[in-house]
Amino acid sequence: MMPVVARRLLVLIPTWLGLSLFAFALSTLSPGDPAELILNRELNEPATPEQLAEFRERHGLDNTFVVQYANFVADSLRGKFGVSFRSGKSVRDELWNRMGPTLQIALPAFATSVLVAVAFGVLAALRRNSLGDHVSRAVALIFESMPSFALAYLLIIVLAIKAGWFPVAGKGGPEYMVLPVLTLTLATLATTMRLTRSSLLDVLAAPYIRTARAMGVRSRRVVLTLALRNALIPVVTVAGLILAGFVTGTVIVETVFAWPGIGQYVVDAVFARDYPVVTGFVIFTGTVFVLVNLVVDLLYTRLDPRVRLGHAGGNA
Amino acid sequence: MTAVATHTASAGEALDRPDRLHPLRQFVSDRLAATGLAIVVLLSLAALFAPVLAPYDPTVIDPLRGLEGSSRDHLLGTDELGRDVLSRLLMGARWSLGIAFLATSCVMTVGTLVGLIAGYLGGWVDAVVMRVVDALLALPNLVLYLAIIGTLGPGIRNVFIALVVISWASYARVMRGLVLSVRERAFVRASRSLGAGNSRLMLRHILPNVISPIVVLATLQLGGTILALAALGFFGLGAQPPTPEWGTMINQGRLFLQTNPGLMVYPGIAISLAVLGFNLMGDGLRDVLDPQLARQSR
Amino acid sequence: MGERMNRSFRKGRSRLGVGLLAMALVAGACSSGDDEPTTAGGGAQADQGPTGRQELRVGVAADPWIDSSEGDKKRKPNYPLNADVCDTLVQLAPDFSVVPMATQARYVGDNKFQFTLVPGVKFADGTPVTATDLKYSIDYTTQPPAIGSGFIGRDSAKIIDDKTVEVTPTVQNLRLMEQINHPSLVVLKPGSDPLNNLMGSVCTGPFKVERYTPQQELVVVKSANYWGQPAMLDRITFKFYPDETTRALALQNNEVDMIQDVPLSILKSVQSQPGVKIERAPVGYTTMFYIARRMSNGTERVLNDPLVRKAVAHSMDRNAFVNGVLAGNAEVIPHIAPPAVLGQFADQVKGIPFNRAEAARLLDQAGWTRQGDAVRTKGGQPLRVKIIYDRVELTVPEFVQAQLRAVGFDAQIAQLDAGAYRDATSTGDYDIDISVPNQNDGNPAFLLALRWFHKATGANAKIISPGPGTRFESMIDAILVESDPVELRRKTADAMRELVDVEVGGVTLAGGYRVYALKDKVMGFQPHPSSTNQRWRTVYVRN
Repeated sequence: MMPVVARRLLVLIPTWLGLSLFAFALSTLSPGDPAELILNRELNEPATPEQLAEFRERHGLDNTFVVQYANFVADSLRGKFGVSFRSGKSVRDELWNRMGPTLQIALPAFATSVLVAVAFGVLAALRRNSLGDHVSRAVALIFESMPSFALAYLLIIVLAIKAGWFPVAGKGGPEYMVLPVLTLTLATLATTMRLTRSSLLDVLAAPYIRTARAMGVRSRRVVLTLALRNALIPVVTVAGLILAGFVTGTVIVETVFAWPGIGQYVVDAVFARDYPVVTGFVIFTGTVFVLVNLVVDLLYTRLDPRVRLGHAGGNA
Repeated sequence: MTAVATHTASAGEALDRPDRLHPLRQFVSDRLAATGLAIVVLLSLAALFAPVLAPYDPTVIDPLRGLEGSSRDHLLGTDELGRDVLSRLLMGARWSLGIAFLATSCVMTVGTLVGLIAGYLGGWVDAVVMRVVDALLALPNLVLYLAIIGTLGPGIRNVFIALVVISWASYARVMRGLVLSVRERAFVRASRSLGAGNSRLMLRHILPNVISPIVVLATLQLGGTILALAALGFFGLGAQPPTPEWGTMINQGRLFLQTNPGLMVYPGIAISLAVLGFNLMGDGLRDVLDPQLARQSR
Repeated sequence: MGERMNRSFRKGRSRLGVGLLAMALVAGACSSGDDEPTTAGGGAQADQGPTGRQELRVGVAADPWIDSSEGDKKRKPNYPLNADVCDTLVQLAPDFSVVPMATQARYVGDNKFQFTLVPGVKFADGTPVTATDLKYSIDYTTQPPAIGSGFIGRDSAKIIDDKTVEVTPTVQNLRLMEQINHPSLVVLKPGSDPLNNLMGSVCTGPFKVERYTPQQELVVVKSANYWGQPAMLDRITFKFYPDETTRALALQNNEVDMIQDVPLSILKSVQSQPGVKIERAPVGYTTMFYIARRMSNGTERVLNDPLVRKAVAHSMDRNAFVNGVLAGNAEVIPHIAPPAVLGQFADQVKGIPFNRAEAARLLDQAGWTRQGDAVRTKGGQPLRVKIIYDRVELTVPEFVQAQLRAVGFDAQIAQLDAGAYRDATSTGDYDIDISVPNQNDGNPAFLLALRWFHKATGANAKIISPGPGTRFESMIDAILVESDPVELRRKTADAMRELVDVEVGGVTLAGGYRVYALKDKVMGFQPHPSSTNQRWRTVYVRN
């Protein structure tokens, strides 16, 4: 087990470096001179060439690309993501403050999505080709095909305006959370549901299940528990990736519902050319994603007996 | 991520294939795929013949006849500047489908080539390429789209660049996995021992055997591209005025949510229909494929 | 049997109906107009006002102090959103004349202005206001981050006596009086610093801040120690809704009782809501565009040709804009500022009428020709213009674009974010800049002198101004030293006519009303054409 972990970790390093290079390239590609942008804002008037030069020297902006990149990597590893052009506060603090509201809707949405999807997936697999199976798959497919902002406005029209059950947008108590969570859940339902269903079908057709049945293991529940445990392996791995993707997936939902989370904040930063924030966000989510991938990979390695026992399969 | 995830789901679904006990099942499944195909063909024809089909010039304004509902003159009503919604939808199809097809072909080509080379050559080439791919796949898509277009400025060319840069990675990954599984097969080894060169092997022996899953992926990717274009339009980074575009239409239509919900609903339906069509087609194609190949990509 | 019962039942009902109708007519005759309270006593006397808890929730746009400059943060809670918490020295009346508020003002000659406290003015904590406090308030606007208005410098304020300060602007500025009503300068108790300590700042207004939750709400409550007529409301909650659709829906869902500055795009839907009334202030701003003649580095732009500029003006169908795009919530006016500031001289400005044929003729005359419906060319170059915009919906530039395309321009819209827009306006990399300048002070020449005066400090003055040595320039020179208010208006009207009719430095699409949507129960609201001078002290709720 340990060598596997070590090997995976080793592979992680160049990946992370590549990701940090992309993020860094983003900030260097951006137009505008950061020295001018920050100083002009602070001073409320155009900065003098001396002030600009001093600023550049202080922040290492006059170094070569490679040196700047190296500094960037060192800083990122220490969690220093620089300072926002707009507010002057540390990017890490700003992102952290807004993490809370995003998690407030992302986590319930994730939990609901996985639970509902697994439940429906199981039912669909068990009652294969029934009307319920086809209807639930069709509904899930339709939701997956809608752009998330269209879905969000649809829910607003039906549930907030026509029915008046929920407020339209904004942050507040539980009733303000319902529509954003619902939108997020519905948008991601289809993938998980489909995966559960097919994975379960796959497992149910496997020899060991047939053997169990042939040997008279009558109880449907026992078969189900046995099959389900193995079927959920790929689901768990994908679920981990879905969760990592959730944080960025809230961008549109937060914009529509005026939910002051990290997604909305980063979009504002993009439009305001506040590149330290954007770069910080990109590195942060990229790192989280890579780590989650690692955990999921290891989990998969542990859980899937085929891989553990050295059979073919598993991600190369 | 979605494309890869649903691709891994294919093995189980492939078990829905021609099962002699349920001929009905095959028919239904084929019908869904056929529906998908029909939708795609219809929309493509609409996009192709939009200039002929559109009753009005979608860019001509008539403010005094703004925000009208459906009427004989305007089947789907008019927007806030009096432009005909139906005409704008039709011309919007040109943009969405046109860019989607073009971008996806590019992405497919680039990703396939990279994955092919990496998978075939193996060794450090493979390692480096896969790290780059992994890094790209880890980055947040939407934010990157916005950042790239925000930096380069909106317009067809930059949208294209952003789409291609961000999407080629998942193709490369799948292709490389497939190549790995095919590479060691008997017929390939045989060809190699007979003295066939690398590129010949890659192009004439390996590629034809791995192309089908890529085609499936491409079909599903088309749907994803349309959604990405709509999202860009929603943020005002898509087609520039006065070119009509579905995502932009939804963005501007949301202001009139209460009096003219059609302004949002119609383009929303158009997008959903297009994506649905491609998804159904892709699903159907996957069912038709040899499930063994699909299983080996896991 | 049933039929007879029905008839008598109906007769009974109709009698009751007539009775009710009669009562309603009588009641209607007794009350006179929307804004009068229907309780006995009439008028806005506090002790006779409406009973019950007086609370109002107002939906406004995004929190203006979130990403604003430090300077704007010093102006909480008076600008850009005015919560009627602080008094200014003098205030702008709805007809754009300047009237006393905390002080009476007079010009004593030689660039000196004296402000004498109105008797009885005191702070929200009960302490009376003195000249020392006035000096502190004035000096607060000059300390970094400065928020000066009217060229007031660090030493401009001088205490004359216990109740009077004298202000001498750093340069000769005879327009100080009209400018100093801007809520940048409010009466503050010494030690107050809204930038760093909003809750610790003390003002003199009818309300005081209870709490401020950034991006969510600003809550003010009635100040018990107000020196003037107490406000009617006990509490006002200003809730921030950056998205207009959400704001309109909040009204419909009873999350708020009124919304400020109803976006015109949703006006129709708001108007059709039951129990909602629309109130408009007279023209307080204009939707117009500036025309760039040259870039800041001197390079000429295509609209430097006066024939082409005139053609642009002729191609705008303002009637369609006002009645179609703005749904009748504006007026077609030629002026680039609300006509009320020009007083009786407003009709000096004629404007340039909509006439596509004339536009085409002028363009042909200028050498820009076209084949059929194609883009016009001259010497192989297409007639291309770049449109940028600020604080309007994309609908407006699309309107302008369509009008220009109809006469043969290749008009492109550049959708720029705030930073890029600032860059463009300072380098002059645009041809048409659509904006909605507000008239927030009493100076009729404010916009003319700020934007089109070649000697003005803003970068874009070089870009859009007629230039040195022109008649317009000398007219502004004369205006800046004019001390008589009537002459000021007359000269400004002349200058505006020169700018609009002759030079075509800008084109006005519409004179916009400020539109508010209120639930029927909200009474006493007096919409002010200048939103920064909006007051809330007369508003009450009929429960």
